[in-house]
Amino acid sequence: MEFIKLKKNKGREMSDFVANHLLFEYARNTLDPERKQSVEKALEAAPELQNEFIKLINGIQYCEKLSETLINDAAIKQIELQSSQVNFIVNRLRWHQWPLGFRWLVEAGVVALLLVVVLNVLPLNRIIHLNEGADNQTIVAEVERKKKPDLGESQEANVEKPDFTDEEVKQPLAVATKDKTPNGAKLKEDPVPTVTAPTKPVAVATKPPEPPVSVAATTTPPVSATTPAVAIPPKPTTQPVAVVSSPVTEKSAKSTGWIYRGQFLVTNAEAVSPKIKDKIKELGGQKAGEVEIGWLKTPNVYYFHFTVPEAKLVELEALLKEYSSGKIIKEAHPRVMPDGIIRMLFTVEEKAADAKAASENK
Amino acid sequence: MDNVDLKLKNDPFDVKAFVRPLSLFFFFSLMNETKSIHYTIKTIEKLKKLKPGTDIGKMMIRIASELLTKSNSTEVYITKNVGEFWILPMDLELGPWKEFHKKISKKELVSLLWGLVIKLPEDDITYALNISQGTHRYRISSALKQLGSNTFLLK
Repeated sequence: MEFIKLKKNKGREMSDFVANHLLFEYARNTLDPERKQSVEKALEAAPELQNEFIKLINGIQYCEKLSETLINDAAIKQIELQSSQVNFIVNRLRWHQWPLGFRWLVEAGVVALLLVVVLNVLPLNRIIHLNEGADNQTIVAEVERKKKPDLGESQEANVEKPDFTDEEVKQPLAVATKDKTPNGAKLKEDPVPTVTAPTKPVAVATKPPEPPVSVAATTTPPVSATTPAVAIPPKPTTQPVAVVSSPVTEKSAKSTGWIYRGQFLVTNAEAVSPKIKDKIKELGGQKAGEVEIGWLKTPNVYYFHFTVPEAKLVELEALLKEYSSGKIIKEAHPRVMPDGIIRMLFTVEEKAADAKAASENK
Repeated sequence: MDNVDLKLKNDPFDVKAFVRPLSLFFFFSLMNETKSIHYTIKTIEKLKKLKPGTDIGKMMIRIASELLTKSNSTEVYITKNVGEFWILPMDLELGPWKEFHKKISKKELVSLLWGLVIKLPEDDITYALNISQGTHRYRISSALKQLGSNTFLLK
């Protein structure tokens, strides 16, 4: 190393700052004689510099000791071994020397393997059916709605209107609105396929008042002979109303429910219908379908579809007997009603209108 | 400075020539036995990948210094099994070094270790670290004074 010679003109002494920075060189004995002399002079003059120099020497001595540190042969062997193992694996693979096509093949295989693993591990079914899971929650809500009838056993069960559908409501209504003819007022038969009740009793009931004879006995004698009709005990009234159960359906529908049907011809139906409606409500009747009790189905025809406690049936019969000689027929129906509750469906029609319609048909 | 002839430029690659300087460098810079061996192997593996004809001695300094700079040297010192791999001088106490290690900057530590402990040629160090000779010496001087102050206080 070449040093720039100091100027000797004024013989200026070396400052402590410069001497401090030359201490390392001085300790290593690599300074030129002139600088060395200057540093020595500075060291003699400044005790702080002496302390710094001692520290420096101590440091160098400590480093000399550190440099004497040796490594065990075991450590060298371990390092060599580990190094060689890593090297061996890397060299053995020699990935970069593989043919390009083969490398692509291996890469494709690895990717396919990863895909298979991922597809197997991930719960894809749950991810796919996430939205359906949300739908299931709405179904739970529906289940809650179905629980309502279990909670309310008697009166509350009757309140559940959506469970029943009004028979002959929509179709005749549509006919009535389109045609607006009095013939539309005529009732049709129950469309429920399981019910095998004959239509004849109803047809008989539409006839003008006759003596109280069992309908099944008069219309279908062979059937009545084998399976006698069950009639409600008649009361000593002028116009008795009989409740007739369909014999065929009673057998087949032992495990099913029942419905009470009827058709009543009255004079001044417009005035009678509200009275019947009030009485039904008084007896605890609740509308069973969508329409109100005593709904004006067509002109002169009032539609009654309701549920009522079974104990009130006799009172209801008595009421109807006051206005008409029609009969209530007990038919089998797939819907099973709660114990003590019956469902009734009948119409109250104007006598004159029926007669008129009959004459028009003729 | 007494340079140690480690035959670093020998070709083919001689692992043994690199084990001592590297393991000492990482041991005193990291003060962690396991890590020092790990980094030694890592450096040797990198050196093996160099093209033939490369100055491996300079590259060793560069690679090892870079690894040290990237590592977290502030971790807990583990020197329980020092005698297992390293044979320290009898009168050497590691206390001052530990204290020094806490305070010193990595740059000064690197210059001190390569220059005064492992005693590699100054030119190789300055070239590998891409610093001037003056900077290298200043860093060593500064580090020595800090180290000496620790040993001075002990005495």
